[in-house]
Amino acid sequence: MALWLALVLPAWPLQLATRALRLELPLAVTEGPAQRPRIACCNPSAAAAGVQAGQALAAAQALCGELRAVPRNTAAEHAALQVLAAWAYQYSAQVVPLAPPARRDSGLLIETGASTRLFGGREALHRRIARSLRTLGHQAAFGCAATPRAAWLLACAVAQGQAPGTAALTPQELAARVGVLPLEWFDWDERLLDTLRALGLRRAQDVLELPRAPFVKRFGRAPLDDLDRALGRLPDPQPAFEPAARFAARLELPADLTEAQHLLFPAHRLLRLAAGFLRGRDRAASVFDFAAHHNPRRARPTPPTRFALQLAAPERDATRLARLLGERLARLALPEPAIALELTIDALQPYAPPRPSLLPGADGAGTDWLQLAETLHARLGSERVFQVELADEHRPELAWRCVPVSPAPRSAPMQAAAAAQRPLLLLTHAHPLACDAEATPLHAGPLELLAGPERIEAGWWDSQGPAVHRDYFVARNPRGQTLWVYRELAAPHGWYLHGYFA
Amino acid sequence: MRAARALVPLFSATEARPALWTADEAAPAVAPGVPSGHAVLDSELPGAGWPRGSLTELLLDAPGQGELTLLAPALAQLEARNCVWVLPCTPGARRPAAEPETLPYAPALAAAGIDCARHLFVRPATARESWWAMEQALRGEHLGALIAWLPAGSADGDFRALRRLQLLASRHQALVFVLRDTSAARAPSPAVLRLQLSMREGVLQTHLLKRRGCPLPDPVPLPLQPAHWRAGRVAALPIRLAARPAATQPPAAAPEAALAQRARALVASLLGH
Repeated sequence: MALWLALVLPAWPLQLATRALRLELPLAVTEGPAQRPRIACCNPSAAAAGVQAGQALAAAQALCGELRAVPRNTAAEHAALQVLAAWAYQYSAQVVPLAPPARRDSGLLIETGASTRLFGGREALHRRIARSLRTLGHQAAFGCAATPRAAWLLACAVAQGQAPGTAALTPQELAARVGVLPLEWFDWDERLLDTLRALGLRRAQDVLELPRAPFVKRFGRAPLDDLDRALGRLPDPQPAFEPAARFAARLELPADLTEAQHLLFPAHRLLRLAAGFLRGRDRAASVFDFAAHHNPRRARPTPPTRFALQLAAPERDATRLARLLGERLARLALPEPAIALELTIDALQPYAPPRPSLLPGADGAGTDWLQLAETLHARLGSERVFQVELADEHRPELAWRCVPVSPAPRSAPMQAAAAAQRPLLLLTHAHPLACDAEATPLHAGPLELLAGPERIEAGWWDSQGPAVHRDYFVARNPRGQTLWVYRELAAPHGWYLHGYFA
Repeated sequence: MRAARALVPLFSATEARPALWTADEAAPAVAPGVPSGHAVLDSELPGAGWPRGSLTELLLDAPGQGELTLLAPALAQLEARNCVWVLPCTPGARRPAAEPETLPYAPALAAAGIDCARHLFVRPATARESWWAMEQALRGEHLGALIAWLPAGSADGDFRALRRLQLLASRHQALVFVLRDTSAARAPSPAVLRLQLSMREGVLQTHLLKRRGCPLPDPVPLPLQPAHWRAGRVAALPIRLAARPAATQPPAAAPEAALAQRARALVASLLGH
């Protein structure tokens, strides 16, 4: 059975401006021509000082000295509504973003009738949607009915201050609940509404009681069709919404942030939106690109500070991503205060959730190790956390490679081909050794050679790598260390330390 | 005089075990450890092996004393378990290292039987990152082993940090090895097993500074190096080698050019010119 949940987001421009941070300062959104800005909406602390919608900005600033005014950006509002609709896509396959142009409320219509069984009932689903929306930083008024139009109207009623009632599901309930609504809420033509008001028709049920044919002859079909759609007598197909293939969301910060760690709170909100989007698309991502924008109006504007969260395996859990991001932000320094934060996800990958095994202790090790690797990556950087892999090579410094951590277990390692002993610790760069008067190499004392020489000559064909012509010896010094040293065959026959037999 | 009544002990020492142990024997009830691969050492370690779920400290004054060869048999038994190596942190410009920077060498690890498929290497930049990485590794529940080189620090700070690691390690059964400088031998430490390693003439002298049970004053000698290395210096070698470079200097520049020329001749012959 079709069941529609309408979310009305009252004062949507204001919600977008305040959701990044919890601020108690008076804030207002202005619209209109640049020479004469007017207040579109303001938050409660500004309203307490006497600021109202429709006032000129100058008047509002005279009333409230520390009022912060943010210009309205309709393109950003539209984009944010699309992102929210993509987030809501995880709960239902039919989501309709609505932004009636005459009003300042935007909202969503979600068809929840088909999803109630999956989420454990209508009440549970609605409560879950309400809770998640609160964690995103939005306030919404909810209305639930059998038709989308009626649900929207009921939600508008709640937004205006009426007490939320039960869902209107049967035609009688619909007629009763919609009937008491005033006609101004129906978005009809202004002149039509004036005429109806002059005729003494205040509420929808007044219009419904009139005979239909004369009403249609005088005022046209549109008002009655609208009422019929609300009451379920006419079908009301909604346009299908398809979320985009990539995710891009932007948060305007009402106050400039100088410390990178403070970006975690708005970034967590963005990650929750991204998690909803990914769940709706049944995908996950392994690269999350963040950009902190700086003030563009300076003489030499700084390009946005970009930082990315790169994971070894695709992930979509917002809490875990926020924890990794916290470690990543510890390494970041903002050159200038940030005024906006943006998150983009370009590449979506299929997601396989970790399945709990019925046998005890089965594959907890795999996810555990991967999570450790990702945590270390996020804090230390990917060049400091690695695995090693063998290579088929005689030259000692190229017989192994540092590789980034990967979740899949590698194929069977190659057998070490060297017959002679190799040191367990190798120097990253060969260390030249000084020689004493008798040309004995020195390293904390004269070295005595124990074994060798092992001649390694390779790589003369390699244009990029080093050509190696060396005689390797095992040496011991008076301190007790056992060293792997070599002597160059070419002039000047220098001695070098290459490893420790640890 | 009446004969003094024989004193009867209040309880029998054998009945009170394992809660009571006398100082002339090793602590009896210890969980079995991982065999270290060296029978002489296993006979002196409580639990006949490396202790699981607690810190083992290895003290040495310079790398290359045989510390990793000592651990290699135990690590080879881990097979597919996770293992984390926290390498010595790269020293800053203010304190240049006495010993150059090193990395565990994969072919040698493979030759020792250690499978590096699940081994993670971490090279921290500062001491703080080093402690943090160790802590993160020990928070995982399925850790097989952790080998960490401790950054140099104050004795108090190190003790507190090590105690934290000890508490984290006691929650599961991982092997935890911590390598430190010998100067910390006098400092107190929460590790249950402390070994001081020094290599003398090819034999690793292992002093057990601390273990559960009675102390061991004498070091345990472990012959880790191949026998042919202990036979003394290599014959007909090194020091006299210095005389040769002067004599062969003119043709010494030639070998590379000659090699390249031979290669060209070989390629030409193969191509049939």
